[in-house]
Amino acid sequence: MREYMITLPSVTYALKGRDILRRLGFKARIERKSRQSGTGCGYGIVTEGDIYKAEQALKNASIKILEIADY
Amino acid sequence: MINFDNAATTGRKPEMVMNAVYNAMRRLSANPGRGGHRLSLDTAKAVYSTREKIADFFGASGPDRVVFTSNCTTAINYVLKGFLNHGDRVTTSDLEHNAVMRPLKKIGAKVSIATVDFTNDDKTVESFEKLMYEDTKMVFCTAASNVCGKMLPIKKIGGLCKKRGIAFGVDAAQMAGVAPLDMKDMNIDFLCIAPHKGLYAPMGLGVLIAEKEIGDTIIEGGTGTNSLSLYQPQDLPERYESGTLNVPAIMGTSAGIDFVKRYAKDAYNEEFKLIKRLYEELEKMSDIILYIPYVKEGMYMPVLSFNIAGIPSEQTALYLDRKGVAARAGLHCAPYAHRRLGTIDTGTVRIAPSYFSTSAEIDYLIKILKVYK
Repeated sequence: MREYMITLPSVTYALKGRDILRRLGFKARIERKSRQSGTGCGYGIVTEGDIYKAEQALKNASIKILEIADY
Repeated sequence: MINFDNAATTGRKPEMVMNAVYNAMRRLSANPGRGGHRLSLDTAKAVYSTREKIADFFGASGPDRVVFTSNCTTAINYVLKGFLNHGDRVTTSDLEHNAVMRPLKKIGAKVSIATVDFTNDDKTVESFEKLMYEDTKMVFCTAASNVCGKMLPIKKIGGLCKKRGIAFGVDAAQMAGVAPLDMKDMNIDFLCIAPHKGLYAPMGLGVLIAEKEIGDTIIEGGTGTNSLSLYQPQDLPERYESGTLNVPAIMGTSAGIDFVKRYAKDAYNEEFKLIKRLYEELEKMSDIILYIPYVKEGMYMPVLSFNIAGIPSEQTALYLDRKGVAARAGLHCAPYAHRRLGTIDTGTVRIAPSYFSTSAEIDYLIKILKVYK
């Protein structure tokens, strides 16, 4: 299945987002992203499935998404 | 040694807290939120779980609002210096610690000082209300005096702040973990905590829970994110957490909350009984000076100040120390509270039990005070 990485501002938000997605039935794990969009280090959630639903769930929880990309 | 200096830090830490600290040093010795390896992520997860636990325990909206600092004073500084600017109007109480008064002085805030009534909380609320002006930006006060134990009517003050759109910050150093504190219920925007006191955690950690945006930072540096930018990230909690976190103390705090929930839920009532008994016995002794009219559950924390007439407080504490009792004398870094009590020249001897204190220990204290020469 196609995987995505959702890049978030910090490890705290990555963990918060991971828990939200898991509660909704998504597979989700945290990975370190060494150079996100040219700004430096960061963390992301690797997930699969309905990425639009995942994105919306994170936005509803006021989690700022920096980037969504194919993993 | 009998430790009655638990308002400074709880002298005896539970085994489960010490084990958590030890296990953190053995198994979580990696920098959270920095590396991408499993150990770093495991540590980050453990830290995050503690944020969740703290948020839940104090009725905060979420784990991302929980900021770890180096102590409660630092947490207070972050709030006051981030939220307030020179000339801003702030209301506080006449029982504050220097952790509040010195930053306010440094900022150059216009400070209004409300009078805390020792027997009538409604009068305290009235005093705060009278000092909430159109341009008051913040009310910041202690939850309970570290000198005389008087609890402030935080919920009522928080309600007033909410009604008037004023930010409300609370120094909960003495109260957090001992008596219930719920940020949502009490309308608290900023809560500053000393986990090494009522949560039985190690020293060297403070907690700031911020429901509102704090504003500017006073410490900048590495956060493990957005590293190419020279500007501090905007998001909590990392914005205020530059530098490596004290993971062993954070894990000790996690275990401390478990301890309080499991064993010390009734700590306030148990400690209060001890202080009440002490108060009643000291009241009978003609040469003892007490500074509050009574101790009453729900109005006072289990903290009591006294003096022996004509004896400097430090000398009394030295006598107690020689008899095997630890108590703190002097001004307790709270000159405003001592001015209020009329003890600015003498200080007081402060007795503060913990969950581990016993009635036999209070009996011994009473006995040695009775025979003081």
